[in-house]
Amino acid sequence: MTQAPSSRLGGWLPHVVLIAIAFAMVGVAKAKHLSAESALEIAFDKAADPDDRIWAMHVAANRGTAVDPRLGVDLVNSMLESDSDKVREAALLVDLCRHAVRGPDAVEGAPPPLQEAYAYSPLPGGKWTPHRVRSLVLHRRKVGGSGVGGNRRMELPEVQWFLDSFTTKPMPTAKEVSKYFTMRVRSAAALNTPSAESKK
Amino acid sequence: MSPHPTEAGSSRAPWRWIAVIAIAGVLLRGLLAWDVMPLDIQSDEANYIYFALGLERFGIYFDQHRYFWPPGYSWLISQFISPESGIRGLDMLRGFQVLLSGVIGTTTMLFAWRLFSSRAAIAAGLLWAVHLPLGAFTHFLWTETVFLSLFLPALWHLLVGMDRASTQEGSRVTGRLLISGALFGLALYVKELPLFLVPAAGLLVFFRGISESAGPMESLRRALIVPLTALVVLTPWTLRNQEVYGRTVLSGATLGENVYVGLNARYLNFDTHPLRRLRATMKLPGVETYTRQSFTTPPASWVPSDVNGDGVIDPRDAAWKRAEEVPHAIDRHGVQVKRGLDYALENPAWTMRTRLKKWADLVAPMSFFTRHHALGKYPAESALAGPLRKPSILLAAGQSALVMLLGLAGFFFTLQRGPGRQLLCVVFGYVMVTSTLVAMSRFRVPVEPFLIVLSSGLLAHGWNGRGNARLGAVRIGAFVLSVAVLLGLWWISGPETMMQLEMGMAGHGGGA
Repeated sequence: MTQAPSSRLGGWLPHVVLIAIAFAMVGVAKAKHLSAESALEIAFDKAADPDDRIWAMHVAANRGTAVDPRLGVDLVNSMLESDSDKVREAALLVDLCRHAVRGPDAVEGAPPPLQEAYAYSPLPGGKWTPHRVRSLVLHRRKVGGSGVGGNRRMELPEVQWFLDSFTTKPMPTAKEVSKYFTMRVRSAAALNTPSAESKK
Repeated sequence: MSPHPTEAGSSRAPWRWIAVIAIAGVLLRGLLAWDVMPLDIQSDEANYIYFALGLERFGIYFDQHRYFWPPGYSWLISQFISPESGIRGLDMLRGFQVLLSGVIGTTTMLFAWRLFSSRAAIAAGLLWAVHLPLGAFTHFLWTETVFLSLFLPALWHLLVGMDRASTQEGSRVTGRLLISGALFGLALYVKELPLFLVPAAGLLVFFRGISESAGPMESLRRALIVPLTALVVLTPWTLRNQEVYGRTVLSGATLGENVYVGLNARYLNFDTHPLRRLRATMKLPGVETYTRQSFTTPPASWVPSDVNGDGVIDPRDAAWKRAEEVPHAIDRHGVQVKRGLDYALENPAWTMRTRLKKWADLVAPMSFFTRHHALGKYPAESALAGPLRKPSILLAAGQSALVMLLGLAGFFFTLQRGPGRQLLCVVFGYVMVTSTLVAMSRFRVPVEPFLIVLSSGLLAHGWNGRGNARLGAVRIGAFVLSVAVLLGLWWISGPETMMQLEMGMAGHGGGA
């Protein structure tokens, strides 16, 4: 027969401590809570710290239960106009792409138009700057499908370009990038050949 | 620590053997990883890296739109890659996973020792050391190695805690259960899989306590420790999710997408689906032509149409759509679950026969190792893609099949009654239930070490088991029935298995 530690109060001490820790964490979270209105306010605030602005955007966009043009159009435009590379890149993430507003003629699963236009706009000076490299990777390799701007999965050269973009290493040349994407498009084309899958 | 007197013949674990075999297994995995470097990324590996880059850039973990994976693995990747390391950081992570696999090997041997004997522990260690399907995950960038290195010790401490409960070591029992809960909590940061296993573990501890006459209060005290500790470990993440999504998400949210894939008209086998592109390039028949139609064809009511508008009717054309109109990443799951369940209830016969296929996919003797071979993802200059290609594929498939067969025999004939058997029943049952939505060989990984343990018990002690285990008619009948079911499931997935293995054997990849 087992000795019953619960006969002593100490047997329940771990439970009490665990619950106390959990409540303490809940207390901290409550103190740090950002209301939806405040989040939206900070997200639109061009003078706010970039990291605060991005976090506020993350919160505001993910709490939304319906597609909201304030998030999918106004906030995207506001962030894309920012002086901060980081804020502009954050506008391309899944959070705001989910709220994209498409025209009535848009096909199902069409990518978010504002982000798409930004990521594929002509390169300033015809050069891949670190920001443009990151924008391309973040937008095009997004996980979640074409509806949020995701194209195909990322490959190692893009990971390297992304990481290099934080250093003084030279960015890939336009020719290099073009060659890489041509290769990827060709390999993707094999995916839907008639021999592999029944045609409509 | 000493094993339960009715479950193990050896009172002390053979630590010297365990250490030697664990080191040997780690070295073998290291050799394997070294041989296949530089290794390309594939499938979800790229996605995990994408989120690691997001963490690197923004310090925020973003969801996957259709899924919401727990953040642990992408966070770990972000610790290894940096602007300075570049993509070489991924190789450092692979090295870390190789080292971490030692935890998996050690725990596997400890389970075999506790459930059987020192001899079984050594046999389990040897089986684990050369087990290619498990070993390969150390050089893949999937969550499996990291997850197992937390999940297995969590179960180990749970077992020791349950077992110790019969002795008079209350504080040690509490300690073991606290560690178990903490490890479950950490495992849930890596993979959502054990989410409902944790309360099941609590129930197991409770009933174990009751059966040992510990009394309802003491049983409840013990039972609450594991889920409560896991919950506390998960609390920071849960609170973060509450703040971001306004919803309570303990670990991740994947059910809705799994229902979309698993309770929908068209069938996907993730052990063969990625091969379709390569097969198309090589003008080979599509992967769908290898499925046994009786277990995969959509319901009669299904109207073939190009739902996703990509110009072909293929497995991605579902009978019901994702709830893309719901922008909320968590709420969408509930909507999809409802759609999936409605569809399943409308087509009960289809639901039943396709579940058989799911289990067939779960137990098919394929692995991500053989899939990687079939995809030609191992570098052409590596020994694994060269002279070792065919032997390694045969070995991996043979190991997968063998541990299932021997494991069944070990379960029915060698394993004795007790907490170990109860725990294994819960774990195996849980994995089988969770695999009824989406299944593939990778989902078998959490139970693969236990198949090795059971196999080692049989190899070390034979058909008559240990102690009072009997070769009774009921056990023989249950074993024969289980083997018949397993063979039947292998038959269902047979053509796909052969196709995948043959592709690897033919060496279509390896730079081809």
